[in-house]
Amino acid sequence: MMIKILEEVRENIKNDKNLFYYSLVTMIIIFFIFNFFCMMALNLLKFNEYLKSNMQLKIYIEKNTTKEENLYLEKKLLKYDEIIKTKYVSKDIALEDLSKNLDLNFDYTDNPLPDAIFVRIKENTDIDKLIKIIKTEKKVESVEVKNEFLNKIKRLNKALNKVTIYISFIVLGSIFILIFNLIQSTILIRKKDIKIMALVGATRLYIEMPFIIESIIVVILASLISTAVFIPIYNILRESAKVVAPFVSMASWQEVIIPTIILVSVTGILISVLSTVITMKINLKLYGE
Amino acid sequence: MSPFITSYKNIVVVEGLENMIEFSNVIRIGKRDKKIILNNINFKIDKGEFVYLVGASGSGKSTIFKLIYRDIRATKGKVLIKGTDITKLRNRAVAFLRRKIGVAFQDFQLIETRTVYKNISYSLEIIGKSRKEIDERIEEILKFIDMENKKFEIVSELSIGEKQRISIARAIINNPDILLCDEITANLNEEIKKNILMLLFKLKDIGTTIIFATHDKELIKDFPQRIIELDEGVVVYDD
Repeated sequence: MMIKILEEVRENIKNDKNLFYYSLVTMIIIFFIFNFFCMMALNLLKFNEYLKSNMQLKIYIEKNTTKEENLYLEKKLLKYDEIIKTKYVSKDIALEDLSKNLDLNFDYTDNPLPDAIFVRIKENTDIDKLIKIIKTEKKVESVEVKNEFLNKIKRLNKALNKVTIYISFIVLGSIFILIFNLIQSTILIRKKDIKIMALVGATRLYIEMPFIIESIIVVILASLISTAVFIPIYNILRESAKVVAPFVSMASWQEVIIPTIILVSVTGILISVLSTVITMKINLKLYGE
Repeated sequence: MSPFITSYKNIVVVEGLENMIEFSNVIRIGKRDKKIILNNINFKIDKGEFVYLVGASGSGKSTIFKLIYRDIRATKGKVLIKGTDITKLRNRAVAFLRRKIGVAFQDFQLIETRTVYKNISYSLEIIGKSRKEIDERIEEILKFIDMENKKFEIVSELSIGEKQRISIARAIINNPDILLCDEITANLNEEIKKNILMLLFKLKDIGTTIIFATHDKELIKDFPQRIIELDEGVVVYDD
């Protein structure tokens, strides 16, 4: 029986192949765009996590502070709940790093840079409050944090997540409309065949099943082809990102594709089956009144 | 439980039940125009009977056919097939009813792009017959209609007479209890008409109940059988 149903699926596709391919290509493009947005959202989220876990404060120490006083301050900072780790960077090391980065030779006898303690803090810390407290500590000259950039990334990430949700609805809506049109057109083209099948005693399930399978085939094919196209493009992007920004580690294609393909396939199949059932309810009057 | 359909799948033939088709006070009113199409129709047709259904266009012949294969329901009255009132039949059971009713049309209703084999095999495929059973039955039926050598020809390439015979072959492949022929000899030459009638009489002899809608008075004269005549939805003659 299944072979007969698959033969009918082939017949459906053969009879309405132009619309079948049009629907398939359109769906591939839609899925590709959806993959792209998922990739953006996921990587930005990852970048945000990276920034959060690498959140660092630079505490500059007053001039003429002794080594003992520096050590005392470092120990005191470590007692804060919000602080994970501290690292003392002397003004000499800071100057050495600066000259390395700028590829210049500075005169070491008159180093204007201050000594500093770099502090790594926990996620979700109220940074402004912490800075205020640290500033009250003795020998602390100033505290610096690159908070603005993180906030920008956060805002961008929120916006991108919203866009991805909207895109998801557009994708599902497009699947519904494409499948609705495809099945409706196939039903109209095969109206006579369907009438004959019903006349000779085919059950509703036997007549409807090929249309349901056809719609599932379109979704699965579109999902697989868009993924196959997306993976190499994503890998090229990932390699390029490594060169441009080596500190940024982009998600692997599996991390992007597996949740996306599951989401697209499962919801896509459900939507396409729903669309097919609705189309058939409207267009297939098999057993008269 | 009805004697004809005991479930969706099991169709039970009750021995000794003579009436194959019975129309009892059947009224059919058009859904849109509310016009009376059939008005108080009463007749009984026995198993193995051959009946001509005659009347002008619009007299209600096709409506009677549609009521029998349950494409429409009677507005009032009962349509009994082997004792079961099919006006009350649920849509899900209609497919199983239709497997026992063959229908042949004037315009053949064949899938023109497919082969003779495929067109006929449909009726057997949907009830899950094996390939071997289908092949054997098709050989048998093509021999019966004298078209063994046309098995794999595309329907669109056949002559009108051949298409009509294929249409009959499809209608009878399931050994139906009832065969409905809707003007199937219209536009055919005398020889083909005669061949088709001979074919139908062979079926009648093996117990198939046949209702043959026609305008053709010559044909009725040459092959006299019971006649039910309709005029504007009313039975005006039954003999």
